[in-house]
Amino acid sequence: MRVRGGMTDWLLPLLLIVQPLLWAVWALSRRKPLGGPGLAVGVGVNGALTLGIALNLLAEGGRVLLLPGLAGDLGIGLRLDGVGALFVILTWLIASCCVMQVHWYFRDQPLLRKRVWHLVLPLWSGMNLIWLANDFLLIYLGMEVVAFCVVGLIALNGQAQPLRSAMRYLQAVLLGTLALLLGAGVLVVGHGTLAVTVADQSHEPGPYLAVASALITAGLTYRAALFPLHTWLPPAHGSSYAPLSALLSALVTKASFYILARYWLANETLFASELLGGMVGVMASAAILWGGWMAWRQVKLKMLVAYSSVNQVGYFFLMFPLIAAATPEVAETARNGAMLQVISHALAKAALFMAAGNLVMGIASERIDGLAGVSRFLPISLLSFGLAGVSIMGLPPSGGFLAKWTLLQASLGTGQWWWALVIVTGGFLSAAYIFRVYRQTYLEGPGEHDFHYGSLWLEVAPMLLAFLAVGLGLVAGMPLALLDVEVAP
Amino acid sequence: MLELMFTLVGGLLLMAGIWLFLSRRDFALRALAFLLLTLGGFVLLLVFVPSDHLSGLILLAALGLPVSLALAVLARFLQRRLWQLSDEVDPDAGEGRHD
Amino acid sequence: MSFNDWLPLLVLSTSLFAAFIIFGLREWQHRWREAINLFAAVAKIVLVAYMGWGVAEGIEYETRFQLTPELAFVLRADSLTIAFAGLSSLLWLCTTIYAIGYLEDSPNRSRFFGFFSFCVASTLGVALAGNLFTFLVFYEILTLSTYPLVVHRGTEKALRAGRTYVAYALAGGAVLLIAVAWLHHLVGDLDFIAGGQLVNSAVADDGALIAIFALLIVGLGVKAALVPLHSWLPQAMVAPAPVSALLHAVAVVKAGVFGMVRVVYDLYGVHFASDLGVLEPLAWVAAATIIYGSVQALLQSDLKRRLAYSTVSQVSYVTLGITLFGPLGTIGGVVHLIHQGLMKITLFFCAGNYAETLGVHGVRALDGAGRRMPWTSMAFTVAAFGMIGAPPLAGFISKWYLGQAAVAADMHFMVWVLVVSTVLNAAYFLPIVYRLWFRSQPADWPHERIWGRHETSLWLLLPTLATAFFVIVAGVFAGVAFSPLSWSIFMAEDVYGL
Repeated sequence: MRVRGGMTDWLLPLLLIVQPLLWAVWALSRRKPLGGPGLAVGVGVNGALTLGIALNLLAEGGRVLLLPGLAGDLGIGLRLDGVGALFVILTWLIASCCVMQVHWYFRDQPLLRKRVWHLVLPLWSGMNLIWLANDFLLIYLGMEVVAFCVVGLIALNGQAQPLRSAMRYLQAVLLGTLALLLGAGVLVVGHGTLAVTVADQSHEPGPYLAVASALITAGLTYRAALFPLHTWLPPAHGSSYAPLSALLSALVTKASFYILARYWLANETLFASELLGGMVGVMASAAILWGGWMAWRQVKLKMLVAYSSVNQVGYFFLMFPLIAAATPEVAETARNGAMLQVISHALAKAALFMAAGNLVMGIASERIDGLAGVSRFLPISLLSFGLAGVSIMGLPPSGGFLAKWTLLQASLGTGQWWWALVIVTGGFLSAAYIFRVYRQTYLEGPGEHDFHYGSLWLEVAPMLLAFLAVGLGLVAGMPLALLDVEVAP
Repeated sequence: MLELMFTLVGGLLLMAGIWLFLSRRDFALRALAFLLLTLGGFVLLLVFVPSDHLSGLILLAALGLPVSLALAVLARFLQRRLWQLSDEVDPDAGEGRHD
Repeated sequence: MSFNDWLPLLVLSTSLFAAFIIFGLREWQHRWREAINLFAAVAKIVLVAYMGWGVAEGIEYETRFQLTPELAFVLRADSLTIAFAGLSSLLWLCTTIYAIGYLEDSPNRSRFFGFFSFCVASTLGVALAGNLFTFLVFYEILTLSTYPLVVHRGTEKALRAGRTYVAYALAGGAVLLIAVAWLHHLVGDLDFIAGGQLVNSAVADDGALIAIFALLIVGLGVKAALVPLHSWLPQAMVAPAPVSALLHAVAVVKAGVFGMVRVVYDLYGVHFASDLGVLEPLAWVAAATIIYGSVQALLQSDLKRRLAYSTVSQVSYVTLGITLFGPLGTIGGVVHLIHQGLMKITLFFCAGNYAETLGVHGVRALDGAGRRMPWTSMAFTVAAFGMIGAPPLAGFISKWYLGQAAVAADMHFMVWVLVVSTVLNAAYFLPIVYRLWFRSQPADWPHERIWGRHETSLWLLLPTLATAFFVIVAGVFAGVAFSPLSWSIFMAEDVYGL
């Protein structure tokens, strides 16, 4: 592990984490909500910092930056490697699009808009902290900052129903947090470190590690909404404002998976338990099948998209049975597949929610059967939805397809071919619920004047993200190359 | 002797938390239950921690407990807001609110 | 990269760009739409012809692009590509002209023509695919791009048909995905190479290869309408006539059977496939499909449904051809791929003409249509006789080669299959021809439209006559260089190393 503490090393990552907070402070200090230029500057600065980190990483390789003194001994600090950089870039992409979408969506509601900036920007900060943290202390801090912001975002307009959804989310957070915190406590008691990579891997896993892992896995699984701990997600994401649901479903849920993946991947030799992997695999399969089935049965468009998140989360978690007791090459394939799935899902889900929001606004109804005739009058949003749907279904040439392919190769490589069947069946279920929406839009329906046309700017972000999701399959070489940049042991 | 005391206190806190969680449906009280469970867990961990790992545990508790408290406060705040809203809708509804 | 490396991608791009531009056009900008459509179609024919010339000379055209270290995206033009691509581009031009006339004044034309161009781009992608993975990619994109065409009308019936189609097509795609992933797992990324490569691979497990072959055939068989995977095809007849023409003559069905040709000749290699013993079962499935399709066609009273079942039957001639080991079978199969396309599209154009001009959908209502619409009916007669296999039309050539191949491969039963099928073809086509010319027309047509001096709109008539003309030419001038037959012989030489 190349451990350096020089000022220059710390500058970029620290700035990246802190910049959205400063931006939020600036937003707080103004009476009126931030306008277009203010947002553009913030996005641009963050983008420059992100690019800087990525380039620096490619040039100098991965490394760990530990705080001086006692904190450093506990492993507290930042970890710069390919996975983190990839997620930072993904966050910049999606958060920027969400910022633009929020700006136009809440054009006529300055009070709500103001509130949103006070919540979204610290959320961005928290996410960057999670991606770059090396230890459970900072991860915990990031997760809780995110949790506070998410509660605010769900209950944004202060109405009763979103409040209830926010409370259900908060309950999940409390439980998950408790488990995570105590798990980290057991880890520090047993091994004296808070780092995600438990330092001495040569020893056999003792009881402390087992208990810590159980707690941490349970807590994070709850917050990632893996079946059967998913019940808080559909109301939370389905009832928020569409651009915010995009942010929540696309990025926030990924944080828990990211941490869990880091933990398991970093401590691979300690976790090679096929039984545990198999259990997670069963839950993941149930998520895929149950989520897909429920999505197909939904009556409201945004709830369909929310259940689709429950369905897709299962694919990420299939990584765990595939890396347990697999050869290094196959484990790498499994990791690549899961990460590709995460990235394309993030892009596609954000596009899906934003487009759904536009459609719902256009037809002034939340119901799917209200979509009749929309293909003539809201074609751009429909196209964004359609393209994003292609990635969710896992059809070529999208990123979803390449992810599915990679996971299939990993499944065949470990000899556990039954996961391949789950993956293919899941694809079929996804097609069922996506085509349900397509089908409605081809029905002939009301005429031109029954639709509400919003600003054209609202169509830009979902289209951009949908194109990225669909085209990812063709350019996947780049993110995969970045994934390979690791911290040398 | 000290260890026994800590174990007892930790165990009591844990049991109190579990009882509170199971017996009350009130969301804010459940949040309080979580806080108790967190506190109890840390106290128990104190029993088992070797002295050279103590600082790490204290650091974790120093962050975790205030944050858990803040979350519990947030839960309470949300609950009250929800009651306010339902009061505005139907001022006569008051059952099941106070335990 | 030289021009030769870009050419395959360029051929694909013509219709892809056309699709994007058309999606952006407003409904009323129909002149622009027509212009772009026609320009792209003509450009495509020119490019494919150029490529065809080069392939005949032995020039290589390949666009290769590494997606990941283990996976390549390959577009390559070889003789089989040109056969399919040539057919697609030529018939796309005819269908475009036909569709412009057919959909005049109906809503959502921009959407239709956008997906139409997209569909042709995917078909060409299938033709140009240089390895199994690329083939799979375009095969699935084809499903996506044809769904909007099937449900275009937006009626409940159309939506139901669309749902059936997508369910079958995606299920087939899923089976294909498993087969391709499994093959990749065993042997890695294999290009399509004449003569096949699997025999050289290190896989000792014949059982796995046979299982993969079966899965591939099932996955491809859905689109190729092999019995019992064919049910979506008659239901999809609810789509507008240009779509039925496209699906049955050019795009979907042909893509499925083209895939089978690729798998047997360029992936497994015909000798290896024969050694594995997979060709014979496939021959039987093909034979069953041929007979079943013909019998069902007899029982249909709706003209388009009769043609649909006829397609189910006729496309399996190609499958039969590839399973009859030997150059004659290859020639017969591949040439029938082209000939059936020409004949079937003519028939569907005629069906569309009858529906649009006279409001006639059922076979029994066609009495005396020959007098009212002589040119269309003449085209129908030519194509029908071609399907039956009357010399000197195109269909005769294919059946002759297939019959010879069956004899050469010692599968005499197949000769009987061909004979019975020919008889059945006559049984369901000749009565229609008889009704057209020898019965008197009813007092009133169900829904007549008059188009000035001509029997129907010129947009609808000219493509019909053009394709009928091709049917005649392909048969009469079969010996000429660059005819479908000569091209098939050229391709067979490649496959068997003659």
